[in-house]
Amino acid sequence: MKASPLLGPWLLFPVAVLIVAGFLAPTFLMGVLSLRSYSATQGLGDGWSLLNYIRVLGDSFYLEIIARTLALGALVTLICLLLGFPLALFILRSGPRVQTLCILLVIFPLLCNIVVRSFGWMVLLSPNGLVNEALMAIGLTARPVALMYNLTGVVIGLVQIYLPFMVLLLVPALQNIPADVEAAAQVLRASRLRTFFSITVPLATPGMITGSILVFVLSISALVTPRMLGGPTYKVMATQIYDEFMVNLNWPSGAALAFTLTFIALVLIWGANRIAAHVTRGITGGPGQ
Amino acid sequence: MPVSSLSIRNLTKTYDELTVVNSVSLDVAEGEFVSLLGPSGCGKTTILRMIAGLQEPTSGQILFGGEDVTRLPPNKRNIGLVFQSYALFPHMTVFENVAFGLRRQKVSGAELNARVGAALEQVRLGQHAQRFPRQLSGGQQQRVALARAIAPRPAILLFDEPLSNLDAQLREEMQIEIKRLQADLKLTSLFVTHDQHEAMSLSDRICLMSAGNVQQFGTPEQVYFTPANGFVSGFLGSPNKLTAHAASGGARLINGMVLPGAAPSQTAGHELRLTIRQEDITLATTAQPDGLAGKVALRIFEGAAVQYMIDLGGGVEVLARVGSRGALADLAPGTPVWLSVAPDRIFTSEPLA
Repeated sequence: MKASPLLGPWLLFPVAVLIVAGFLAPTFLMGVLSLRSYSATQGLGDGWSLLNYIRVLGDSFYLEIIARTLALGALVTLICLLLGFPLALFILRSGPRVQTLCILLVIFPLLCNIVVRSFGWMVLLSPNGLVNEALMAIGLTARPVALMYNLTGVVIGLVQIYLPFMVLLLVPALQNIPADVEAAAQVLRASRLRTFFSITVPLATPGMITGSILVFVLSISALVTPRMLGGPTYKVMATQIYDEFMVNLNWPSGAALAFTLTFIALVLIWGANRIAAHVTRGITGGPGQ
Repeated sequence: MPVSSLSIRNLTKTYDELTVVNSVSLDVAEGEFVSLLGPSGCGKTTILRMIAGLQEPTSGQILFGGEDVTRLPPNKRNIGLVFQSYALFPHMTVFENVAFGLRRQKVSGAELNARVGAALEQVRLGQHAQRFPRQLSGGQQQRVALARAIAPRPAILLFDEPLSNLDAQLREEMQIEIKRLQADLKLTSLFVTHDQHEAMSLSDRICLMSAGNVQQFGTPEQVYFTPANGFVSGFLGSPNKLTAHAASGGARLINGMVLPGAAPSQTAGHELRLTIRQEDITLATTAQPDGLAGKVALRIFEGAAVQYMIDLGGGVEVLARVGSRGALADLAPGTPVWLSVAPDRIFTSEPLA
């Protein structure tokens, strides 16, 4: 039986329809929307302008939100990396039973809805929540510590939600490092610590970068957790976009803010990929001779 | 650092119930090249990894030049190790790979450059220093691994089947390379392999192993010409293995023929296993008084040699090998032949269970 040469492209048809109708078309409409002027009475004005972008990039209110969002993303990514790397190493070096159990435990929280999990954190972190009660009971603090409606709460919530993604990407990355390569370093007089930093970490870089990009992008676009654990005052881009659309009913402004977020994410991903390509030029890339 | 001798004393490795290495003792003199030869699973790689410090012995001792290193971690042992998988650092250039061990010895600057350069010259890869391993062929990668192992001037050089991943021609080139390098540097070397030709052509002495035990330890000539037991005679060369029973004046094959001279000391009727190398069989096309009569069943031209399968009848078939330029190189299938073997070339052992 001979496969029709047309069959290949046709296999892409369903997903192509989905992407065009569900992603490209709305994105285009949003792009158009972000260039419309705003009218307080009608919502959408008649004119066209770049004012929405100028306002986002020129107003210290928005710039602070952008900076806060990026810092939040970076912090969550870093903590996920620092917590996830040892965990992934542990999983990899355990026996098959412990390995399966650990992977299950890592995946388990993903089965629970984000709203429920964020609410769970509110119960724990609120001024009269479990954590503060415990801290006061053992006398570490006289008054409740502010653990939510600020950066701390949002970071805790996001790290807990996105850590599984980091771990699940790091495990195969570490698995791909041949055991002989680490043994070779030790035989060449490298201590365990030196082997870890000179061999294991560089060879895990592709996985670390993939995991970091994923966690970063998910963190800066997260809405539910920052809204619940950050409260009404702790604003990040996702919550601000939501407010522009749903509270202020300023659709052009929301669209412009959304595009700014997308653009920042794309630039950062592109930059990370460039760095990754340079750092890992020996590991990946085209075939050898 | 000076080259040192290597001794292992009653080295044993067990996993749960399984004994992988069974109280092996072995001495490798300074500058000597010794091969650990045996089928897969005989414990040879485990011994090498214990010497490297990558696996911990269950009991026994490892001595480098008289100094006990049994409990030292690998980075304190001053060894070089060439892996079957090359195990190069893929994210480092060839130069950095070779420099890695030297940097750990605090070699730097001009001396580092000179010593990396010298090591790469020794394996004729000087012009590839700035490439990444994946840009090199398998043979070149293994030469980088060799340069990386010798650059820090180890006291002992270990090879873990380094040629198994290379094709036949490259393997021979690398054999010569290793032999030349070892002779130049006079490094104490232990070479693990399952390939008898590799072991014979490279080694001063061969340690033949099976099932965690040393079967024979001697020069290539000793193990080849005077095998210590049935395992050694059956492993080396490409021998015929025949079941027979002791009989007056020789050994009776299962088809009733008597092979003269074999096993004269055994009581008649005792079951034996005979090992006869293909090249030790003499063929004749005219009737011989003591020769076993058979006929050519199959002729296989191998280039330098011709291999015949000789059918002796009664279910006994024997492989014989003769030079491809000799008078007997052109026997067609069906040709009657008479075969004989010098009695001292027949190795007799107890039948294997």
